[in-house]
Amino acid sequence: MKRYLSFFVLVTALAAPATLQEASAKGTGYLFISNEKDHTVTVLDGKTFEVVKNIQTGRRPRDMKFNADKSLLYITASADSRIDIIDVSKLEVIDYLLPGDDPELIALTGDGKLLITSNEDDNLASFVDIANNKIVAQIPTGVEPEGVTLSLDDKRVYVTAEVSQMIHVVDVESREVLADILVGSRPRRAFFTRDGKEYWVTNEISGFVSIIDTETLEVIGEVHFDPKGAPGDVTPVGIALGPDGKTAYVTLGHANRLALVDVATRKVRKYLLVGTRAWNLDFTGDGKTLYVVNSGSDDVSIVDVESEKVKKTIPVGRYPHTIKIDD
Amino acid sequence: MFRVQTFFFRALLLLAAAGSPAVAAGESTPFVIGYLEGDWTASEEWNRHPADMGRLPDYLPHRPFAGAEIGVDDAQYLGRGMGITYVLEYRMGKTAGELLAALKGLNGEQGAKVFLVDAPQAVTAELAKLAAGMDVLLFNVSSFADSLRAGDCAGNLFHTLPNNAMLMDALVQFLVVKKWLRVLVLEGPLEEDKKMVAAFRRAAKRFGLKIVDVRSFLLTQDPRARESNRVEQLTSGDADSYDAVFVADAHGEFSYRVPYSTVLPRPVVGAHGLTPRAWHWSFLRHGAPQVNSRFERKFGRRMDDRDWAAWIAVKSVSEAVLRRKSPELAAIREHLLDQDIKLDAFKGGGYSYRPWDNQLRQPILMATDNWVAAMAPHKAYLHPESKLDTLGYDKPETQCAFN
Repeated sequence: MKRYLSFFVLVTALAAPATLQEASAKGTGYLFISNEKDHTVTVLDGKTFEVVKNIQTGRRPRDMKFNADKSLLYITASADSRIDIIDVSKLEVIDYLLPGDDPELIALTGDGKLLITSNEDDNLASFVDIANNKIVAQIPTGVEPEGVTLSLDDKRVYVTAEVSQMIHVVDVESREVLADILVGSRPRRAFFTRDGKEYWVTNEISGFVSIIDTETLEVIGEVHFDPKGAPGDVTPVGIALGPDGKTAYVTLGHANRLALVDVATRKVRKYLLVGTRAWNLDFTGDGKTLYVVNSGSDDVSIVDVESEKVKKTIPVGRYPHTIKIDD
Repeated sequence: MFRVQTFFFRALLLLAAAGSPAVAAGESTPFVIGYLEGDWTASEEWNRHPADMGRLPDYLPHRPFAGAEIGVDDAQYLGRGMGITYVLEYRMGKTAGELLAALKGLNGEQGAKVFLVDAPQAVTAELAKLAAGMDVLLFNVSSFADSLRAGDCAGNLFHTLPNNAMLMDALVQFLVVKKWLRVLVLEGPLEEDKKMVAAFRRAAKRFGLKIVDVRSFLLTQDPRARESNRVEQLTSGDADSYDAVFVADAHGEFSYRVPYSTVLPRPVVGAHGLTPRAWHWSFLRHGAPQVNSRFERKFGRRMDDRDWAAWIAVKSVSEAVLRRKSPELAAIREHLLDQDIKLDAFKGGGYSYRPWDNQLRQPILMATDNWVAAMAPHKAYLHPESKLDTLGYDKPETQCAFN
C-alpha cells in the first residue's frame, strides 16, 4: 500500500496534471455510472451510449466525485470501506483511500486536498487528507449520516443524518459543529443556490424539500410535491441545481417522477416521468442534457434541459447509483 | 423548527465520541421509558415466530428489550437538542398486578410515563385496565392478539406490532393476487392456532378466497394417530383440490415438516414457508439493511418482529417529543394520534396510528426463510383513505370502544 501510495502521489503531483490538462481540455465525453450490485463503474460513450469499459471497483460502489480538473474520479466502495480512485485517462482504478467504515457519500474540496465522507454505520463524518491517505478528523453525527455537501467557498460542510432528522453544519477548518438543524424525516441530499445563501435538502420520508438560510442556519421554507397519478409515495432523494441556477431538479423516488422547481418562488412548475426509484442526477457541462439514474429499473433517463422532455432511456448495470460526466 | 448552538452540542458530541452513554451532568433531563416484561413461560404465545422456533437456543434469552435499546440509542440524538437524555428501565413481573406495581414505582420514583409492555395478551389487557386513569402511555410490543385491538382495547394502549388480522389480510391479499384461491388449512390444537385460523377465515371472506377444508393436526409420533400427525395423510386430495396449504402452528415444531411433504406440489404459507411478518432480517429495501446491521453488530443476533416493534415504539415517542418540543404526555399523545405524521419505520413511506384502536398502520412483509418475497398491501387493493387500512380492522368494522 505504501509503495502504491507514493507512486500515486507521484502520479498526481507530476505526471497526471500534464496528461490531464490535455484530457480536460477536450474532455472524453464519457459517462461514468457506478453499479452498486455489479461492483463496477460502467463507462459509456456520451454520444453513442456504447459501453467503452466496465471498470471493476471495490464492492458496492456508490457515490462518485471528480477532482477539479476531472483527471481523477473518486468512488465510495462502501462494502470494502474504501474510496477507489479512477484515473480518467486510463479508465483504471489506480489507488484507494481508507476513509473509515462504510463510506456512503463524499464531498471534495476544490483544491483537491480534502475528501469528506459519511460513515453510515458509525455515525461519523470523516475528513481524509488525500495526499497522505490519512483520516485527519472524525466528527460524530446523528444516526445514519448520508448527504455531505460543501458550501461554495469550501468553508463549511453540511451533513444530513437520516434517522436523527438533522443537518449538522461543520466548520471545515476548525472542525467544530456550528449548528444542528431539525428538518423532515430522513434527510438525504442537497445543493446550495448560486448565491450560496440557501441550502436545499430532500426529506425522503416526509416527502418535501427543506430550505435553510446559510447565514442564520434556520429553516426558512419548504417545497412540497403533488404529482398526479404517481404509482408510489413521493420520496425525494436526489436534488441538483440546474445550469442556469434558476431551476432545481428533484427526483421523487417511488413516484417515478422528476420535479422541476422554480428556485425563486419555490414552486413546482413541472413533473417529468422517469424510471423506477429515480435518485441521482447530473448535467452535462454545456447544461443542455440531464441524466437521471433509475436504480430500480437499471437504466438512465436522458432529459433535454431546454425542451424539458425525456428523450431516451439507456440500460446500464445492476442498481446504478450515481452518474458523472467527463466533458 | 429550531436550532441548537454550538457549545452544548459539541460537549455532547465529544461525550458520544468517547463512548460514554452521553449524559451531560446538570445539563440534561432524563426521560425514562419503562420496559415491563411479563411471564412467558406458561404462555402459548412464546414471544417468537414459529418459523424461528427451531433455532430456539439462539432466541430464548433474548427479548425485544434489545429493540428498545437501539431505539434509545437512536433517540439520544433526537433528545440532545432539547437537553433530554432517554433512559430505559427494565422491570419484570409475573402478573399484571406485579407489573402495575413496577409501573407505579418507575412513575413515582423516576417520573416514567411511557412504558413498553412485553407480556402475553391477557396480562397486557389487564395491565392497561389497571393503569387506566393514570397519566401513562403503554405500548404493546409483543402481542399479535386481535382482542387487544378489539374488545380488550384501551385508550392508554398503543400497538406497534401488527395484529393477526393484519398479518392474515396481508397473506390472503398475496394469495388472491397470485390466484391461489383454494386453500387447505391445517390447524393445530392450541388456542393460539385457533385464533390464527379465525383470523385467516375472516381474511378469506373479505378478499374472496376459498378454504376447501380445515384439518386438525397433532404434534405426536403415535402411529395410531397417523391421520392427524402425518403430513401425507393431512394433505391428501386429488389434483384440483387445493392451490396452497395454510398451517396454523404457534408452537412451530409441526409446521417445519410441511413444506415438501404435501401430497400435491403446492406452496406452504402461514407458520412456515411464506410467513407474514412485521419485520425480517433479510429485508433489503427502504433502509432496512442499515437498521438490521446496527442491531446485529450490537447484539450478535438477528432483529425480529418484536425487536422492530420495540424500536419503533421508542422512535414514535422520541419523535413526538422532538416535533412537539415537549416531553409532556399530552403533547406526545396528541402527536401519536395526529393523522398527518409520517413515522419513518423503514418499510417505505411514513406511517401514523389508527385513532380508533391505536394500532400503527404499516405494510406487512411476506418472508421466506431468507428473503422477503412480497409486501402487502398489494397495489390492487384500494382504499379511500389509506391503502394500509385494507389490512386489519378498518374504522367501520372496529369493535374497539375507548371509554
